[in-house]
Amino acid sequence: MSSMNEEKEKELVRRTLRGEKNAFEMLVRNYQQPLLNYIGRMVGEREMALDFTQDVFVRAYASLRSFEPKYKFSTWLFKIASNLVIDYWRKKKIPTFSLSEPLGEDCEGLTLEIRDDEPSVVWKFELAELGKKVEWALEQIPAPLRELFVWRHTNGLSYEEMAEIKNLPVGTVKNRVYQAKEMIRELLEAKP
Amino acid sequence: MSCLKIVEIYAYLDGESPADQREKIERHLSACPKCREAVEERKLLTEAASSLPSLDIPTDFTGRVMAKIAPAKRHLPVWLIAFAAGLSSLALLLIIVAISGGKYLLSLLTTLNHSMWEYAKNVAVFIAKLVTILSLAGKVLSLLTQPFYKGLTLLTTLISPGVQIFIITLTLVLFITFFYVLRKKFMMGEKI
Repeated sequence: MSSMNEEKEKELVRRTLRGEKNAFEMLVRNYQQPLLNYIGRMVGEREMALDFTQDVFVRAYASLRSFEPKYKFSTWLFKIASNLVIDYWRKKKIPTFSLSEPLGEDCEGLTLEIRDDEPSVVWKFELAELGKKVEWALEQIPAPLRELFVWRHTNGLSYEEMAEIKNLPVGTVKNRVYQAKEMIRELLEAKP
Repeated sequence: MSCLKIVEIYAYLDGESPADQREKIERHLSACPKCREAVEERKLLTEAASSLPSLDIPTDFTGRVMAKIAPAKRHLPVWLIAFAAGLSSLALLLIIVAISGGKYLLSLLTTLNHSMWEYAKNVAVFIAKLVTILSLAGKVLSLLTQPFYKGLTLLTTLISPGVQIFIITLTLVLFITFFYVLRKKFMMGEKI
């Protein structure tokens, strides 16, 4: 996701704290695209996503002294973004749930074997069309699962990083991502 | 090995399966077309999910963020600029009027010099008066605080040094705790 290595990022944080604003500008340039890709898919509106992304950097800058170098800068930044997104969901009354709680019966679906009559979804659509269909299905799945899916597949975060951001066990995060993928597959299966 | 469970497929595709499990899965896949197809399908879906397009970011976005966190240098207030412009115009006008009225520039400068001297004298008198008032205020304040010091002296003779140290330490601890609580309360942003 980030072309910058961890040490360089921490050095940029230190330089920002010494008052070098151009060091923070480099961090903004490095993370603006990944953050927008994530926030855009969480809030759905481009202008709002741009405002939120801007807000994440403003908050990060204001609380940079509270950043603990033992963590990755990206993890810290995505945690700020996630909190902003969750606040937005709450205000918009978008249903959310705790990722550590079982998600109904569907949670067990992952432990099932493949159905004998499982139709192929991938071959149903043209390869070029598949991306658009995935994007559509992504909008249909529950917001907390969508968040993990986007972090994993658009932002390329590791399961460990995601677990750290959400303060959840790695195993739970993995299961939720698998669940999101399976939901997307089922939505595509049902799509005419 | 029996047919794969969905969770096993995703773990396998993620490279998360242990080596011995991976071997078993691969052996099973070479013999089971149903599982092979299910794995292939989920692999293609994952690839499609990982290549979702980036959202467009405006070219001036970094600039916008930096302008928010580092506002441009403060300019002088408009009223001050207008006042200074008015004053200099008035001075210029006076000079023009004086010269055109037949006065020599030298005598005009002498007059100005005299006025400045008068002004400086007035300021000096004002400062002297202010110092006198402040010293009087100091005396009154010391008279008022004398009973407090006397009380404190009496108290220190009554209380043993050990208790005094304890009271001072307790006050310091309370003060520092209060300060940190306030600092945390007003701190923006997130801390992992």
